[in-house]
Amino acid sequence: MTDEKQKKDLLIATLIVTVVILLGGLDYWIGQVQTTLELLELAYGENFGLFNNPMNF
Amino acid sequence: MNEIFASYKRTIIVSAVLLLILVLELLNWRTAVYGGLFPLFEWLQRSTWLGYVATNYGSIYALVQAIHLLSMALLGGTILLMDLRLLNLSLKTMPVDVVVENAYRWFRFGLMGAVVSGIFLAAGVAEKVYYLPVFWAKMLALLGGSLFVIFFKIPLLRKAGTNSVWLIRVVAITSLMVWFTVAATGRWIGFVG
Repeated sequence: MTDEKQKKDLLIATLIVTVVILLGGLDYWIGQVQTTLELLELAYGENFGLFNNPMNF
Repeated sequence: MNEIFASYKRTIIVSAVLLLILVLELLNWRTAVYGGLFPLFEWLQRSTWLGYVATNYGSIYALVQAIHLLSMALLGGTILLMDLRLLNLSLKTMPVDVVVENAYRWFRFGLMGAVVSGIFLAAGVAEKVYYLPVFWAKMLALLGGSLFVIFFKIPLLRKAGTNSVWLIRVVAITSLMVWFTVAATGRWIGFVG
């Protein structure tokens, strides 16, 4: 029973930490993509499209 | 009360630590500490033999950089071995515990090599990296990733076995993402500043 409880404790703790790290990582990378797109828009105006070559005006 | 604490010790400690981090963030503690860290970085680059050698001897810096990259390759390799096996994408004929235990042994060597060589490399450019947000992102990911593997991923696989398949897969995906962040931000440091 004690071993079963320890296992449950470990599962819950791991789940909490995993969710926090996963959401933190996703937030970081989505933020980076957003910032990059905003900078590209600032540099090349509204004509900028994700699959356009920004050097072709 | 004591029984609840004894039964859910790990969960309570984790929740308390996360709550503490949240409170410190709300109190802007990180910003307050950040300013006070610069003298330490300045001292590391200007007043230690590490900083002196790293700044003045390019050949030694290159040699340590090679050791750092090889350690990171070892670290990344063992992470890929473990996580792809946990996701059932590679080494399918080998038992999970055999793959994980063997990879974890080499993971520790890789981590040690990367940290020791990383301190030397950072000493050479300490005043520069201090101002790079990506350097702090790497340090956070490295610390988080190491603690995650040592205190949660490996104990989970040792104690829970492969019974909690869905949790193990989420853990493997999270681990891959964290170490990808460490690698990507590490390379990023080389291209900014």
